[in-house]
Amino acid sequence: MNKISIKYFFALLSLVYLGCINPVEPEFEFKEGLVFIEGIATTVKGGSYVIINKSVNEFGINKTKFEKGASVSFVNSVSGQTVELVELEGAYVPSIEFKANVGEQWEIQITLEDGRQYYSQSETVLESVPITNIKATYNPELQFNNGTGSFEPGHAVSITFNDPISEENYYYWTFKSYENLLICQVCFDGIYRGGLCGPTDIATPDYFSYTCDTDCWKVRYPESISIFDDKFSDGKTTTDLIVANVPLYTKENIVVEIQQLSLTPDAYDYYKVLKDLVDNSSGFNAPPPAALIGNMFNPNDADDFVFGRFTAAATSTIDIFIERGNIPENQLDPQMPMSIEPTFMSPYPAPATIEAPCNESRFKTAIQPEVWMN
Amino acid sequence: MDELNKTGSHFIRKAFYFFLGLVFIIFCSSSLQAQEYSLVVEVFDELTKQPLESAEITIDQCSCGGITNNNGIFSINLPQDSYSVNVNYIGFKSETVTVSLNSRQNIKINLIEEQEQLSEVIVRAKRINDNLELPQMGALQLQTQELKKIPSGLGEADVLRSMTLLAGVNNAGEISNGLSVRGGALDQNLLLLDNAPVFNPTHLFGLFSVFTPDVISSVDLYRANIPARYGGRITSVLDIKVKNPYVDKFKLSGGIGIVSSRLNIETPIIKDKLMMTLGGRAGLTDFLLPLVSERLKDTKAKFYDSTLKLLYLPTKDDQVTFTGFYSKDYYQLDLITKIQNINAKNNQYDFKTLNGTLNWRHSFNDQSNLRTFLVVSDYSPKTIFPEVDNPNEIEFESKINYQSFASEFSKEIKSDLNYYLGIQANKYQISPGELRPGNSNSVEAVSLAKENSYEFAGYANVNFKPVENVAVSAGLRFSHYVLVGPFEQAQIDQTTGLLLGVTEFESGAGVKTYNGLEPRLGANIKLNKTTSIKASYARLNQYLQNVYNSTTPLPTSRWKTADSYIKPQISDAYGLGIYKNFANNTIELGLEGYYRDSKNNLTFKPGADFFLEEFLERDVIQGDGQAYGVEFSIKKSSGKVNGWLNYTWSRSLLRSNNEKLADRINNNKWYASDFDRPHVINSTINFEGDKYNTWSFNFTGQTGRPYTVANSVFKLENIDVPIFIERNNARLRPYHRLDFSWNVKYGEKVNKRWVGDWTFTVYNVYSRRNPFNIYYSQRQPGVDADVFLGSPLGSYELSILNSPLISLTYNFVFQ
Repeated sequence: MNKISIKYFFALLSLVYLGCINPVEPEFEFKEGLVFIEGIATTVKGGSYVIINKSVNEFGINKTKFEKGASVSFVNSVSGQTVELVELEGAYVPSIEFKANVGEQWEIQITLEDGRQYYSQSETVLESVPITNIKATYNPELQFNNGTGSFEPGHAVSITFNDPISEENYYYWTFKSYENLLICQVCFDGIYRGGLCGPTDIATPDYFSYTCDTDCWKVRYPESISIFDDKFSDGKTTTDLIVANVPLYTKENIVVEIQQLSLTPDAYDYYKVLKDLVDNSSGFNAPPPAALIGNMFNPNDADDFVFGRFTAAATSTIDIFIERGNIPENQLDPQMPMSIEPTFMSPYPAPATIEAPCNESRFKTAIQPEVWMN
Repeated sequence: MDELNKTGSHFIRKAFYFFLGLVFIIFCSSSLQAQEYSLVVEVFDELTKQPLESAEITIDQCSCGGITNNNGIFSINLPQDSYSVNVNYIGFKSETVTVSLNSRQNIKINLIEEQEQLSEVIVRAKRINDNLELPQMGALQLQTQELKKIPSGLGEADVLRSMTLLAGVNNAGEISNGLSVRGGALDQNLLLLDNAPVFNPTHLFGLFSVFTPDVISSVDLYRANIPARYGGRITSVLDIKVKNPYVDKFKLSGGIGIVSSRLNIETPIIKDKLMMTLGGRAGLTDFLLPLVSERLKDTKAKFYDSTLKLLYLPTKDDQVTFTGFYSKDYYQLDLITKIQNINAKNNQYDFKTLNGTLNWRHSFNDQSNLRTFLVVSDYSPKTIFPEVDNPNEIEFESKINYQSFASEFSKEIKSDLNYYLGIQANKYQISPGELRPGNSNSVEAVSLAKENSYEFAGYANVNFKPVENVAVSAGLRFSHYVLVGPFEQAQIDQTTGLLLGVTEFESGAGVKTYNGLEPRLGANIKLNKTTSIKASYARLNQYLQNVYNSTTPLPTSRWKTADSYIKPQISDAYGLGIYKNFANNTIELGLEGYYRDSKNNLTFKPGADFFLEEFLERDVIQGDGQAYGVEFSIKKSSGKVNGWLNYTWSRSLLRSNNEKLADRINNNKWYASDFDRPHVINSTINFEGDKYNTWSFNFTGQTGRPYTVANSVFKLENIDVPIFIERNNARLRPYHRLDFSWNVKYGEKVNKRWVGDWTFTVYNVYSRRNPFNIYYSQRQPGVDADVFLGSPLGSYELSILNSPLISLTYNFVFQ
């Protein structure tokens, strides 16, 4: 009996199915009125913001809602300089010229519309550590998808950096990826007119696709948390540390821009809890969930839980361009065949439209990434 | 007057002589009555020639008797007479012999196993009616032949998994690195193998027990008034005994199974002087795992365990044994979260236990014994980190070295009065961790300082009957614990948790001491021949704990002895029960209630990370605990159909006492511990069809494990983050499972030296998909949308099994 047939003999005998994972309807015990504050003050112009969300129940549906009408300011803890933030598309932002500088100490002060106040503890902007190298390695089995029960292909992006000696360093990485976007709008059961998809009296196919009227890039963000503490590698060179997984959603070429933030010890502890909640909850040794409480507090009520954190950090970035056209594996996003609106003898209301603009948003941009290669 | 005096003195003289004569007669008479002789009964298994412990001896003429000790010996002094001695042992044919006792008599009785009479009941008292006679509460025993017939996963005889079928015993789920007894944590049980503690009792992350199945003699679980000779854990003691190799010829036994194969040798080395048993088991079939699931393609899982026992009989009054135990695991599993801050391809777990016990028992006479043992227990877990893009491996290793010396004198003064007293000295040396970079350029060597501590204990226990029908067991244990230098004591701001400084202690300097006085009391009031009431109380201290922040610990999780910040755990346990036997003691009913109040239970701060943490006291919280419950059990221990049923209602709660808002758990209110299971029902039924076939069924059902559901969801960049306020605010679906086993013995021995049997087991007969955990995940477009509906997060349920686990094991004996 050869090895293979022995295997099948035993498999038949045991009928073992270990480590089975099944989707179940998510269970929550929603509580109304929870406040979540996420604030960032960075050394990059245009990169600072504060988001305030509150859990609400509207018409029987539990959700979180952006808290409008708050008074939000960055306060320099040493000089007392105050920078007011204004409300803009679901966030509070300072003027575009604002940037924090290394060594400065900042905190935030918030007064909600209902008068509740939330302050943060002071955060020192630590010097950033430059990234010396970046590498992308394709892996046909990059990560396991519980939903499909199979491995997914993609690129692991790794970096190299020299950790400064004799000082505690805590790192947090995030990224933006830019991939060519051909279709800027898809209208289901309707047509694209005046910047919107709308119904029409004339029968349509299931959908119409509208190509971008300029070069356009789809922007994606990480789906996991990457952090690192140098307590075992102080002053050493960390080589090829994977900081981003970029699944093969499409086979379009892609630019990945890695941002490296230098954190304070408290901020690192916060992101460690966040990582446990987001990435480490599925294993056999999953830590029980913890409250995501950072450095925010209610100065008038010590027992008021406020979630989230204000982080002031210096940032260094590095980009990499990845060609993906020749990858043999199938892309993960379903490929929808182009369905273009007829332009000749069109039955639909004029003007016949086949393109849509590449509107700037967090998820789409017409600004070409610096390292993009045509 | 003279005449009167003469008569009087004559009377006095006669009276004096009469008195002298009377004294002489009485003296002679009493001398004759005191002429007693020793009757020593030695009981053996006719087939294996092994002594049978706990065989019941009944002597008709004196209406007296007792049970054999662990050498199979029972002795008694009786007046010269003729006696009928009846020997009874469950599963064996009774024997009666007549003895004319006119000198010291030593009789050997070989009992023949009767398959059709063999009780399959796992839990049984040492004597048929021990449950009514002894003041010991909450004690359960499992013996080797019963252990092997319990249906268990993949056909492996498994001590810990079998124990979970008993009332009040549970675990963390299908995979569990230990037991939870009466709602206690996994590290609150003292697991002993021939007196040596086993710090990591499972293979493969909790799937199987490490104890080599073929060498186990018995397993005793104490969970109420724990005998005074035991200390160091606050909920229970699981005392596993290795067989004494009383053999006069070579015997080879073993088994071949899907998960592991095993071999056991028993042989005399010097006839009647030196004997040996050596058992081993190896699991090397991880190459099958990719067939099970694609996700397990990179999984490696290998394990070995081996037990050696040498028995040396230098004189008829001395017995020296040496037990050696070795266990090793190596695995790599993607379902375990990788350790943070070391850049590695994966994490591999490699850990081993090496224990040794040297035991000397000296018998002064049939009533007095001195038992002395020396124990060394060494547990070394290691994590291997293969570096990215180079062949170097970084290693993390920690270690617990435990040494113990104990000596205990025991004496049976009369049948209802006996005592033991002893001393014990333990040394704990913990190496919290060492990181060895090898040739790595990216990691530096780290070595945390060793922790040395000692525990000295003295104890005594007396069993007596103050009045008829009342039996009392009164024990007292005193322990003195000291943590000694070299040691670096952190100075921590209790409000902020910040490290203010470090105080250094020189080698041998006392850092912190604790004393514990632990009364152990048990009382049994026998209301009539079939009914008794028992009460118990026990206080216990625990100076060593396992620190981990998951449902079940990794084998590499940190152990920590008490210091100035981490105080000893203390429990006070109370019990009350009523027991009744029916049908000539073949049916036992029991109703037992308990309440345990514990202090300094160890839990962890939110987000705690203990890996190579120098001052982990900053990451842990000590809180209060309480556990209470009622256990009902009914057992039928003989007959062709036998078995038991038990139902437990219980609660296990914890409470933190923290000032700092972020460190509070459930805002310092009582919350359900991970081992809170309000309703548990277990049942086993055995059909002993004929002498060739035995069928067994187990059913277990219980309330689901507490887990934590989110109170809201917020978005951070592109990630939906669940927000939690409380711990353990929901429950997994109920756990239930039916198992079946069929043991087939060969009818006729084709070759008398070779005997084989087959064990066919089906674990989880009706394919129950019992949840181990539920967790949230980021949603992906179109994936499981029909299940997740409008939820911002997806949710997955992790189960260890979703189908019956069928296995077939061949066992053999060659002698």
